[in-house]
Formats: sequence, structure tokens, C-alpha cells
Amino acid sequence: MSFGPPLGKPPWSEHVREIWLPLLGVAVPASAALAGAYGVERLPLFFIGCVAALLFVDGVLYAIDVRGLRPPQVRHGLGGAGVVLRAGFAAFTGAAVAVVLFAGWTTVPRAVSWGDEGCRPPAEVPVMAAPENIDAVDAQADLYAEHEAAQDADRCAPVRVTVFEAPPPGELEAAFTGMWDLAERPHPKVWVPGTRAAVSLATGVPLRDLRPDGMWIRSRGGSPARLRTDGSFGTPSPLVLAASQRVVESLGLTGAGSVSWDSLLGRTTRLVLPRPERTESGLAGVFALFSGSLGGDGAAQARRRQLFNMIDRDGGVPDDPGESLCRLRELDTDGSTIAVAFVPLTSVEKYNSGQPCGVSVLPREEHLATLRPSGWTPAIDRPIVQVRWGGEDEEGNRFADGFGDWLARHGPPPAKGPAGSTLMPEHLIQGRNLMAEARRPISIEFLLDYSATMNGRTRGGTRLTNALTIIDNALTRFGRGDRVGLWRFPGGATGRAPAMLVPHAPADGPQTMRIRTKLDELRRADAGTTPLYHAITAVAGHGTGRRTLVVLTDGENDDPAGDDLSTQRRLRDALDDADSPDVYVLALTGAGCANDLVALEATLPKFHCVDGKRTADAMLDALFSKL
Amino acid sequence: MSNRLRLVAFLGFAITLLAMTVYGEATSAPSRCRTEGPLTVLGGRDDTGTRRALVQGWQPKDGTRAEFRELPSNSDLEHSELVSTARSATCAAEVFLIDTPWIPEFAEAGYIDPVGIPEGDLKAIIPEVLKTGRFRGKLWAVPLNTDAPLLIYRKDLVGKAPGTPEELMAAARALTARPKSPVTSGLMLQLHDYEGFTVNILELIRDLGGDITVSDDGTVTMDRGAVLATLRQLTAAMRGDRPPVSPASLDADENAGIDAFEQGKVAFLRDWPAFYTQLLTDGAKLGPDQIDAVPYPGERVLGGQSLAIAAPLPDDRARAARELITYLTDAPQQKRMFACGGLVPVRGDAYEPDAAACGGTHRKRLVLHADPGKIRDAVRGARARPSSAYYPEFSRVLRRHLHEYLRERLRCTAPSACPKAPDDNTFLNRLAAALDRAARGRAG
Repeated sequence: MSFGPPLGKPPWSEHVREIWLPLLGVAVPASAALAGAYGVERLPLFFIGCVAALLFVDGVLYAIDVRGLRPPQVRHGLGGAGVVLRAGFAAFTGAAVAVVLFAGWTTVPRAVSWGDEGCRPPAEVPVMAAPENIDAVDAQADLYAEHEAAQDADRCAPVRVTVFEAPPPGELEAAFTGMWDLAERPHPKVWVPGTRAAVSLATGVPLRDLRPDGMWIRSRGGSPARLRTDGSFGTPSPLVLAASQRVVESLGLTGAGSVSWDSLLGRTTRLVLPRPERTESGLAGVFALFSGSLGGDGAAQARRRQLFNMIDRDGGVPDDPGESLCRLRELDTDGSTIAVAFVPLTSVEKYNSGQPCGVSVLPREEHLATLRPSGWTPAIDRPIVQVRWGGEDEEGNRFADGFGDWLARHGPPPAKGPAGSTLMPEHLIQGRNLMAEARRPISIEFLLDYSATMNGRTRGGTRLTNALTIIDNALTRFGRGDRVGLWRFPGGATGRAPAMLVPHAPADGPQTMRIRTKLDELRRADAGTTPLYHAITAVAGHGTGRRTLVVLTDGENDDPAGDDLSTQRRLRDALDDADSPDVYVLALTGAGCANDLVALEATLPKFHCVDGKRTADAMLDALFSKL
Repeated sequence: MSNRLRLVAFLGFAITLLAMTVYGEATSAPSRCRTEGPLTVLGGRDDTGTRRALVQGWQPKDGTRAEFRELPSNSDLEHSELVSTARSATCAAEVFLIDTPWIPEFAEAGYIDPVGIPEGDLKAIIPEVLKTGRFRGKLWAVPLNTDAPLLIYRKDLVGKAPGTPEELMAAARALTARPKSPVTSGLMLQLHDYEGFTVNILELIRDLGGDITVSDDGTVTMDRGAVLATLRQLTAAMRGDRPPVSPASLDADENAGIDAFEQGKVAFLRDWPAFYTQLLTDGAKLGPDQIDAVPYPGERVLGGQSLAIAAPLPDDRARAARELITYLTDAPQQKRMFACGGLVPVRGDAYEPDAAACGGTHRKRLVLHADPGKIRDAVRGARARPSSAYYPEFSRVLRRHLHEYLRERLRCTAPSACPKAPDDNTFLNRLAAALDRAARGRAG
């Protein structure tokens, strides 16, 4: 092999003049192809780049006399192999330069851009957590993001973790089987429910088959979601009874390690639970509460009703166990109230060791005592679940895996004492059913005001969206034996007759799905009238049997066909019968119940007005407590 | 050197280059994205349903249709899903509706392409508002709706509406100094630890002639004097029995402000027009004869959302997306958005909404917006927030530092009671360094 212009070769400049035609013949189509792919405005740059690259290729071949390249064994007699070798070397040189040019063209501008500021915008990891876990997970999210930034040489923040609340246990199955409500919450990459039972409910996979071994489970019903359980956020924490020292002493339980539900019955005036409609620990608490009386006989049902009536429903029922303990603290200020909470032990330990409920220093005498319920004690076990929805965000997925590992290593401190029993999915289902059955069966027909003024703004959205939220939340409270239906009034943009949207039927899964589907279609109220009295009269006369009509309205009767007095008279007649339904009007404005509704309430025993100044849950609590 | 060998080398070069280009194109997102079906606009929830109705009402002659897919109304969750969708490369949406401060991040990360609509076609959009869609010299998004704050006040308690920040503070002081003042504080701001804090504090800093800006290369320029003066004045204004600025502002968002105003705790409230409309129409304690609103005196920060084209899209889809954006920002649609949704128009010629478009009932007109003239005056002269590809982190760092400063100073009645609080110079140095890191996407 020789270097430099070999003997007999023209000078470089003359050589270039010789090859300009084939050079252009390759550079022009190559640069045109690149410009077509990456932008016509870059054609001059691509052309110059291709010419330069080809000159470089040629220069390499010009400087190295390739004719001199031949392996010793093919020096004599095997000239064909030498030709192939030389051609291969030439083609490889050209290809190598093309690869370098292409890679440089796509990578360098981006590196230059990042170099200006130094960091790329961070990847995103959305994390969904049950109310029981959300505060602890949120705290770890910040620590994890800082940790990842500390690993980077430039301390670039490579990831942003966003934590949000999971849907209630009763909606998990629907959420993961195709009806993910994106208007409520993003698609999570990591999910930290309260229990593995929730994962089983969401996927339909039996609990025993949920192994933390990296196996992906595909969700049912055509949803693109795949799930994988991957360790736990801390060790299981049993649910325990928590009470102030005063209450423990008054119940004669000082020093007792456990207590039976029966011994609390009749003595305990209030039982504080995280909201059972929204939390697994609340539902687990209900199931544990009823666990000694699951029978269908009259005595068992009566006992369940007694136990159910202990559950505190006033003052807003929180989702978070920590806030439940603040509610307990609030109740305890009344020296005559006997109140106990049923929450995860870790929540009590955090309360006793921290600054709960806005208190800067918690005196020792205000620490809560804990008791185990004798019999079955459920535990929350906080599995970590990876979720994937398709797509190619490999970097985000990698950080999601990383955050899962982080959570597994940085869980809450282990709770003291026995771990408690694994909560099964059937416990959650049965808890919900038992809670519904502990009260009298209810039969509700929702009448939704669809007049245009329902599009008016109020706290939290519009009156219509608030009404839809109330109905949607109410659906989580129904159980076996209940019935539900849905109407709108008026039935169309004009006219006055109400329209049935979903016929009155048992409040089972398919019925609640039908109502939810219909609610999804109701986007903007379009009617020019509000025939409130006429709608109630019409629906009251439509069905039979003991029913309750729940009317969601912004409260002013505006009937195109009749004057207020005559329509009111017909309303009174319709409700003036022993078999007439009860009517609850939820007035969805800041002003609450209008004067005419207040007047009707004063004179009609079956007519009630609930003012709209509360949250959806508070309104439902008020409503269901009256039913 | 044989010409054949040279030709082989050139061919090797050309074939490899073309093969890599074709491969790149074949596997790139535009070729994988759908070329048929309705366009999807992905954005935060609009409770009035107006945006959805307008998007779905678009009917170009070629038969293309569009749908609006709603995201949570909480802006952190909305941002999370938008970024996840963009990064997943599933082409789940062609148009993103994004908060204007997010535009630099989406542009820098390659989630959106330049919008490709000549700015000459967008002349009707208010220039300050259109400017919010620009980043590094290119137009990345077209504003769909904007926002600017009002000063809502008790006209039964206050003689004349304040026209400057000084008049506002003087009026607040005078009101609370009255022997039997009906209010416990003069003014409520939104200073809870969320984006509202950043907006409110920027307005106060700018009122003092200062600013905090971020240049295209991520350099933060902070007027230390104005920032310190703002913090000191705010702290002083929140002290005392009946302070001119309610200390509850540190825990207040828009809803808490409305509550305090309705309950008669304050006489002045800084808030967005939608909340003023809610006060007027929700039938609560105060009647229209008791409340009024003017553009917030002094500096005002722009809010709003903009339409951006997801990257990368096949050419036909991108073209259709531009047509949709042009349609949504045309005058009739802007007027309808204002009338039926209370969404503040981005065009100066859309502030006379079609009052009959959304009607009401026979007895009651549906009112979804406050006086158009006042809102237009509030928008004019309002300015955008700092432009940064790391705006969410920048804002979080800014409010974390300033919020803590305010809480600490209010908790301590005298410097000797705050042994741990750093001196102001140290505080400003730490703040500047933290903002500088945040504006370059760095942690710590």
C-alpha cells in the first residue's frame, strides 16, 4: 500500500476536474432525496454536504493506492477476488462516509440545541395513588425526581412525576376495561392502590395469580392497558381502631389489646371511617364491621343496621385516613361524644409522631390509642403496579420502572404488631353490598333540569356538570335491592314534557353503565324553558311503588304552558297521596333554594329542598341520610 | 485509480444514504400516523361545552371532521397527559390545546411543529396575545382564548374604583381603618402555592417597575430590588388586625377568594372574569347593585390557551389542522365562544358577542361573561409570563422560595424571633441561583 499521489497520477485539483461529472451525478440526487425528506429549504446545505463527503471518499481512495491492496494469498492467480476486495473496500468507504454524514446531520443540530440550554425537557411519569397512599407517594415523587437529577453530570432534571388520586374502588373495573375517563384523570404509568384486591378487581385476575414476577396482565374488555405488579410500597398495615385516651378510659378498655365490635355497639356513638364509597380502607372497614353478622336473617340485618348507623356521616366524610383522624379529633372536643376511628395503623403512627391537623406540637396525652378488633383484621398492602397503554415513550417507561423500584425501597416505616389479613376482592364487593343493604332499599329517579341556564357557572364548573357529578357519585352508593332511573326535563329544546333517558330498573352493573353512558352524552343543556313543577308532576304519576324523585335544577320554574299557580296546584295534588313519591330538589346555585321552593317545602310534607352550597358528596350524604 | 472503483465508492455512498433516508421516513411518525378519520383536538375540560361544540361544528368542504377530547381541568394533570400523549408517538391527537406558558417546552421538546400559518393571516389577533405563541422567532401556536384579571369590588362600600395600584392600596387601607369597618381586610389575592401565586407576584413586581425574565438561552434576569421591595411591602400589608391585604391570601386560590368576597371579609378581589361572572349570576349573597369590576389596576398577566399542531403529522393532516385552527380563531367562532362559554376572545373584533347565540330560558338570560369592554381593556396592556422551556419547574421554584419567605416573615413578628431566617441578600442570591438552574432544566 502506498500513500500520497502515486506515480503517474495527476495533481489533486486536476483530478477533481476529471471527476466532477460523476460526482455531481451522485451528489444531486442524494441531496435532493435528503431535501425531500428533511426540508426543501435545506437543499443547498445537503448538496454542499454531499459534495464534500464524496470528495472525501475520493480523496481517501486517491491517497491510498487501492490497486496496491491485495491479501498475500490472492497476489497471484486469483485476480477476481482481488477485484472484489478492492471494490468492496471502495463501496465500504463510500457507505461509511454516508453513515457518518447522516448521523451527524441528524444528531449534531439537536446536540447544539440542547447545548444552548444544556437539558432536554423532562420525561413525564403520571402516578395514580389511592387516597390512603397519595400523600406518601407524592412526597416520594419529589425525592425521586431530585435523586434522578443528582445522577446527571449536569444535574439536568430528567423526569417529572405527577401524582393524582385513583377512582373509587367501584369504578376501577370500568376504568381499566375500556372506559378510562380522560376528563377526570390522565393515563397512569404507575398505580399504587390500597390493596392487591383492587388490582384483582380492575383486571379480573384472581388474587393468587397476581405474582410480582414481572408478568404483564392484559386488561379485559379491549382496553389497551397492561398491568404488572412489582413489589409493595412498604409492608402491610392492618386496620385498627383508634380513639383518644378519654374514650378508651370511658369504655373501660385501657390496656386492652383488642375489642369486639359488639362491645362497641350501643356505647360508641360515632365510628369514623375513610369514605367507603371512595376508599378501599373504608370498604374494608365496613366489611370488618359487618363480619360478625353476614347472615340474611332478620337479626343479622337488624344488627348490621345498628352498626351502620354508627358510621359518622356528618361534617363531610374525608377520603384520607389522616383526615379521618382529624375528624375524630374534632368529635372528641365534645366531651360527651364517644368516637372511634377505623384506619390503617400507619396513619395512627404518623398522627402520633407528627404535626397532625394543623397542630404544631401534639402533647403526649393527645396521642391516640389503638385497639385491634377481635376477629378478622384486614390490612392494606399497597402494591406497586406498572401500567402501560401502548406507545413508544421508552424513556418515560424506564423512569416509571425506576420510580416503582424507588417506592419499593422507600415505603412507609413498618407498622408494629401483627400484619393483619389479606383483603380479597370479594371483601370489597361484599362491603359495598352490605353497606347498601344495611339501609332500607331505595328507589330513585333522577330528574335532570336541561334548561339553558344550567350552563351557567357555579363553583366547580357549571350547574349541569355539577349535576352530572352528583348523579355519577350517587351511582357508587347503590347496591342490591336498590332501583334507579334517569329523566331530563324538558325532553327537548322546546316543549314541556319530560323525557325518560334510562328506564327505572334494579341498580346493578349494567344499569349503572347505561346511566353513565347517557351522562357522557349530556354536554350542554339546550332547552329554553324550565317546566319544573310539570316535570315532577308527570314523573310522579308515571311509576308506582315507593320511590324518591331527586330533581337537580337551578331552581326556577319557567313553564311555557301554564302559570305558576295552576302548575303548583297540580303538583300539590300529585304529591298529596300516601303512595306519592317523596321529592328532593337539589338547588344547584349559590343562592340555594328559591323562595317558592321553600314555600312548597313548608306546606307539602313530601317535598324537600336541599340547597346547593355544598360539595357533591356532602349533598349526597345529606340526601341519603334522609332517605 | 480506476474510475470504476471511484464509481463503486460513490454508489456505495449514495445507496447507503438513500437507504437510511428511506428507512427513516418509513419508520417515522408521519408515515405511521393516520391519514383518515376525524382530527382530534386534545385539551383541558371546558365545562360549558362550547369548545367541543365549535370543534365538532367545523365542516370543511372536503368532509374532514374534528372531535374534541377533554382532559382534566386541573392544569397539572392536563399537562401530564398532553406530554405523555406527545411522547408516546401514537398520533392520538393532531392538535393540542395548551396553556400559553407551556408553548416553549412543547416546542423545545419537539412535541409540536411550527404552526405554519402566515402571521399576515392572523392580523386580527391582538398583537400582545399573538406574541405568546412565539418562541425563538417562530410561531408555534395560535391563541384560542385569552384571559386577564379584573379588580372586583364592593361598590356599596367603595366610593370610586381605584385606577392605580397606589389608589388600590390606599382605598384598602382607608376601608379597613374605619372604626366599624364591615370587612376584615381590604384586598384578597391568590397566593396559595400554585400557578396563581406566580401570576399574582409577577404583577406586584412589575407594578414596582421590575420583572423576572428568561431569555431564549435560559438566562434569568431578575430585578432584585423590585422583588425584595414587593416581598417587604406585601409582608407589611398583611400584618395587623385589619390589614389592607388579607393574610388568608397565602392559602387562597380563585374559589377561596370568591368565598371571602361573598362572605364580606374583603372589599376588593383580584380574579379572572369567569369568577366575576359567577359572582354576578350564581345568585349568592351579593347582588349586582353591590358589586362591580374594572380592569385590575397596574400590571396584568395574560392567561389563556393556544392551539398547536402535534409533531410530526403527514402533510395533509397538518394542512387540515391549520384550517381548523384558522376556523376556530375566526370572528364568528370567537364571538360564540365568548357568548356561550365566557372564553375571552383573542381578536379585537370579537368583543361584541352574539347575545342571542346561547340564550337562556324565557325568564332568564344566560350570562356567561362580564362587560366586554372591561374585559377587552383588561386584556390590552396585559403581558405574558416569562418564556421558558422549563416554565413549570421555573414557576414551582419561584413560588416555593417566595411563598416560604412570606410565611416565615409573617410568622415572625420581629427579626429576633426568626433566628433561622436568612438575611435578604442571602435569600435573593439563593433565589437567583435556583431560578437560573430551573430555567435551564436543572434541579437543586
